[in-house]
Amino acid sequence: MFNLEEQIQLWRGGLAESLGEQSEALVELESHLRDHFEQRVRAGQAPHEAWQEAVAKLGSPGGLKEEFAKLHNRPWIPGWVALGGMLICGLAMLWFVARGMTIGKFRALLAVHVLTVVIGYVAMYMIGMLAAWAILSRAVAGWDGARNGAFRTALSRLAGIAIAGTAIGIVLGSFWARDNLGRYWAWDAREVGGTAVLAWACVVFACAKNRSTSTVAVMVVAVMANVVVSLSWWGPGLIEDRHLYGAKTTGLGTALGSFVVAQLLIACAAMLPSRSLNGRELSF
Amino acid sequence: MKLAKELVAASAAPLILSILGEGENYGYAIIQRVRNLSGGQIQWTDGMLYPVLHRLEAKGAIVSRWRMAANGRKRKYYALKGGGRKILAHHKSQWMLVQGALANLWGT
Repeated sequence: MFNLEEQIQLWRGGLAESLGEQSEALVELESHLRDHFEQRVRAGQAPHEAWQEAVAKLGSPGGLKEEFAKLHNRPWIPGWVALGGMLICGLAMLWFVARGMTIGKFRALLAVHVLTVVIGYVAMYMIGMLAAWAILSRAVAGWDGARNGAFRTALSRLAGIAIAGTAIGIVLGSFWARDNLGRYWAWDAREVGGTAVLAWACVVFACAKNRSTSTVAVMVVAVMANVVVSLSWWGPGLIEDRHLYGAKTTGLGTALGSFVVAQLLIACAAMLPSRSLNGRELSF
Repeated sequence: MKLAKELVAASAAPLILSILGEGENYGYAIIQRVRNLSGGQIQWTDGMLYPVLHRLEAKGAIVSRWRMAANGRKRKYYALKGGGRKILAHHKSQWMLVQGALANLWGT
């Protein structure tokens, strides 16, 4: 007995890896198959023959993957802006620590620690900002396979930078702590924060690379990078004064709290159907 | 007669834009329309239509929206935008030029 839904599921499985399980392209192709199938069955064709014809006419999974992959290769401007921002930040930090070393403010170990940690943390902010952009863009203008592919690529690159920067920073920080505080690791707020950032960067990287992770899940995980890095970077100063390096906490708690709440609201917006904020569009 | 692959590729965008110039439409219906217009001579691999549609949308030539069809299923409909009309006019003048030149040569 021919079961259309079973056949559809089998067919989807063959394309989901390359197009994304929830991608609009996959839904659109499925809609096309159903249209063709229904039209042929109405014309009197046997269901299994109509299905075979519809699938054959649609094209081979390999051919479709190839054609859609060409679209995925289109540049996504926010992704390049984020990577460009990272480059500018890296150069600025390099100049800052080089100058600090020249005037005797930093020793080499501390300078490289500061440089790598800041690069790692800024990469996390870039991930969060890209995700916020992606969530709002999806809610207003929709989200196609091309943008999804470019978004995941940008996230995995930035997460790679975040992992490398934070991991090197943590290791160097522990050596600095041995020289200056007499111990490698004490699970203080700053160290816990660094570990949390590193762990979250790994989660973002894994989600961005794993095509079976839904687009919405990737967006939520990525926007939460803003929360993790903000609490890790600025939170310790609210707990212990020594993490402020002489700066004032006036307004820091309010600013941090407001930012975190804003990110949580943006994460909730990821649950909205695609194009739901576009007045004239029906939700996807 | 089977149309050459290169000609199928080159004519895809002007055909799609011209059909959408008649009004909003969806993938399967666009393919049916092309088939009818060409008397079944132009045979596309159905799935290849969608990357072309997505590329035209990315260029700003067309716009899409999901709409509930009469059969209760959601379908993605495409419509021509202002930019698409300009691209279509450009395609039209180029194809007319080629068609005119060949007609003159062949005396048809």
